[in-house]
Order: sequence, then structure tokens, then C-alpha cells
Amino acid sequence: MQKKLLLTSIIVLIVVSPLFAGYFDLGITLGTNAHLYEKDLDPSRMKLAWGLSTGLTDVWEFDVQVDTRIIPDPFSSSSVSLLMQRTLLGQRSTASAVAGVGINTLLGAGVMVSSYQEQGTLGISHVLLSLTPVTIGNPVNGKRERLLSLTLAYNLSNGQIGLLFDLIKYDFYVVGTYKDYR
Amino acid sequence: MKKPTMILILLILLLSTPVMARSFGYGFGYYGEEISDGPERLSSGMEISLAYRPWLLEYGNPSLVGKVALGTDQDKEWVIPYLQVGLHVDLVRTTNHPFNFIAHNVVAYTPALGVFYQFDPAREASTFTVEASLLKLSQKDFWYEVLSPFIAFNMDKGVVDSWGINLVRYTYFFK
Repeated sequence: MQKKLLLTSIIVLIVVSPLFAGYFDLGITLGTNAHLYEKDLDPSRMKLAWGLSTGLTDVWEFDVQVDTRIIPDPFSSSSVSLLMQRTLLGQRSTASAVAGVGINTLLGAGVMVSSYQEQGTLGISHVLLSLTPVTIGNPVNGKRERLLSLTLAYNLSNGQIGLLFDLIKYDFYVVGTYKDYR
Repeated sequence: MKKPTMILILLILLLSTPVMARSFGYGFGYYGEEISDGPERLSSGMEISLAYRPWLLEYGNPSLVGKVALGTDQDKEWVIPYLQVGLHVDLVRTTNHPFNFIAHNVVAYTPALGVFYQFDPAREASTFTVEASLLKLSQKDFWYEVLSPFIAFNMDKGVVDSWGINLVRYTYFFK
């Protein structure tokens, strides 16, 4: 089941990535993740965060993040978070050679697809509310760091609230950087 | 002053010059570890390190590194899973690599291997640890390591004692 989820995630990311190409920007995300307060459903001690981040407007973005277990049993379990996020401190990108705000804050909401449910079935398992207090960089510069992201995760199957903590994530932009606005 | 004394002083000055160079650094990492010899214990948390890098050689650049990890185990108890001290060697330094897109400036690719004496205070166990930092990028002032696995061997028993991974580690060098 977990391998199916991982494979599905990869296929979905590959298939949908061209859809983002016409928009403001597209970045590859890489970073850390910890799933807290739901150890009975997800006993992971360390997770790798990876995925895609795309700018939909100058202040809105859509993030697809796969969190894959590293410790214990590497690559044995994954979840997919889909988040719509808004910047709170200004434009993330201007879609021109003029860069967006260098330091920003992100607030967003979305859902998690996983098998971290009472029944253990794969599906929409959590409703997410996320705050990233600090982002450094922006798409036009080509790189962005997201620091100390906290995401409240409401488990639809048992009504418990877990917490997702991402120490640091990097977005490496491949579309919508200064190179595209020369 | 006699000639041998002068030569000795010059030699001491020469040997001490690396100390004054840009060579001391401190680092922070995010580790996860699983003990496989004995009762299973999983932990994850922060790793703090100190590094001394006297040279910037193109091949086989050595550094002395000491590390301490601090985290929580599967029972949410605070643990210090390991202390390490040893040699960290950059196998090669090259700017001709495919990872430049992740940095604003040109950055060197310096894959490294480390060998460490490791001590687990909770079990009072000493092990020999090998670490591979194959995704390591360097500039004069920093190292940036991603997905660095390590494996600790119990030399007395001849078995693998534990293994783990540093998801990210940043080491900054003083100017």
C-alpha cells in the first residue's frame, strides 16, 4: 500500500508538473519533516520532505509535499500534503526581473493524503492549517528557504490533532527565475 | 641568536599559521539513528559539531571534526545517542558539477568520507563509525551536507552496532 502511494505520488507529480509551467514559477522542494503527536499511526522518527511548489499569482502558491519515512525502515511510508498558501508580507514574485519580497511569511490550508487513519486505509486523512514564519529568498532569485514550518493536522478518522514540523525546506526554482526575465 | 634556534622558531611559526587561517567552524545538523545491536532504540534530533579545517586541498582535504547529538527516542525521552570525534576527508574539490543550480554563487562539490571514534553515553559503548557525505557542497565559509548516512561497528563483537543518517548539516567557518 505504501509503495503504491509513493509510486502514485511520483506519477502525479510528473504528470501535473507541465500544468504549472505556464504559471508564475515552479520549484523543486527538498527538506526535513517530523510528524508529531500521532506516533500510534505514524511511528516515524525522521522524514524527508520533497515535492513541488508553484506560484499561482504574485501572492498565492500551491505546494505538493511528499513526506517519506527515513528512520526507521527507510522509504516504507509516505504521505502527501496539498497546501494552498498565501504570503503575508508582500509579493513572492512580480513575474518580472524585479524580485519579490526577500523575507516573507506563509499561511495556508490544505489536506493530507495518507494511510495514517484508524482504519489504515489510503485517502484524505487530515485537514491542514500551516504557518511558515520565515521564508528567505524568492522565485526570481532562483532559491527560497522555508524555516520552522508548523502545520496543525486534524485527523478526520479519530478527531485528534497532530503536528507537522518542518525545520527547513529549500525550493529550487526551475521556472520563473531571473533567467526567464532577462 | 643561533642558527638552529632561528630555524626552530621559523618552523614553529610556519606550523602554527593554519591556526590563524579561516579554519574553525561550527555546525548544526538533523540526525536520525537506529540501534540495531541489542534492544531497538530510535532517536532523532539535533547534532552539533565543531570542525577544524587547516587546508583547502583539491584532493584528500582533511578536517578534524567532533560531534554531539541530542534528541528524543521513541518513548519521548531525551537522549544523547552519540559523541563522535575523528577525521573527515574531502575526496575531491571541483566546481564542474551539476549542482550549481541550487546556489546563487558558484559552489564546490566536495564529496567526503569520515571515520570517527563514537561513544554512546547511555550504553557506555564505543564504536568505530564510518560516514559518507556524498552530497556535500562547499565554499570558503561553509559546508552544506545532505543525506549523509553513517554506520557504527562494534569492533569487539564484529557486528553493526547502529546506523543513521544526517538529513542536513550546515557548517559555518569563522572569518
